[in-house]
Amino acid sequence: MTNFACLSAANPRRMITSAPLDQFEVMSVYSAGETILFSNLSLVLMLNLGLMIAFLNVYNFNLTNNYDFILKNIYQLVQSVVKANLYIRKQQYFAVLFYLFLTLFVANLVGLLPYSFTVTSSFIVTLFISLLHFIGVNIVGVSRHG
Amino acid sequence: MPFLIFIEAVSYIARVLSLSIRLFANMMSGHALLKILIGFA
Repeated sequence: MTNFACLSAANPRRMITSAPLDQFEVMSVYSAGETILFSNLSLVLMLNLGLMIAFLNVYNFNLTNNYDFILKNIYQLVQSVVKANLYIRKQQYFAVLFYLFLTLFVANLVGLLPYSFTVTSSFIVTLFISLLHFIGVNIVGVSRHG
Repeated sequence: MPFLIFIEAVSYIARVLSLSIRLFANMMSGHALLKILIGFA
């Protein structure tokens, strides 16, 4: 916990360096005491969540601007994959797959920006996503379809 | 038959770790490669 704070306090402009593996470094942005640590990983995670919410918040979906068109295309892309791979009764879980696709899509797209941070290049995030869906799929599958 | 059950269970559990490691390694190598290529310019 204090390692991160010391690391960023000793070298606050580490983000600007150009060594290839420095971009994956998790460092403290804001830390209060021993328990609260706000790193750049959590910063970019919150940025991704805000982007997803702002992107999905199309209150009047009538295909008149470009954002509606992009959203409809992504929806149809995921829907074609789901239709090709699941039975008609199991297609009720389309929302989970759409959310998963959009999460990884936004995370990788934000990671391509210069001086940004790729959330999916840290193993704890991918392990968390996969374990979350593994446990959820097992519980739902045994209790509802078992 | 119990041997088959054991193999299937192991592959079912290992798929979680394997797919997450695959996403992590692809993202890490891709962004490191981009950073190196940018450093050449």
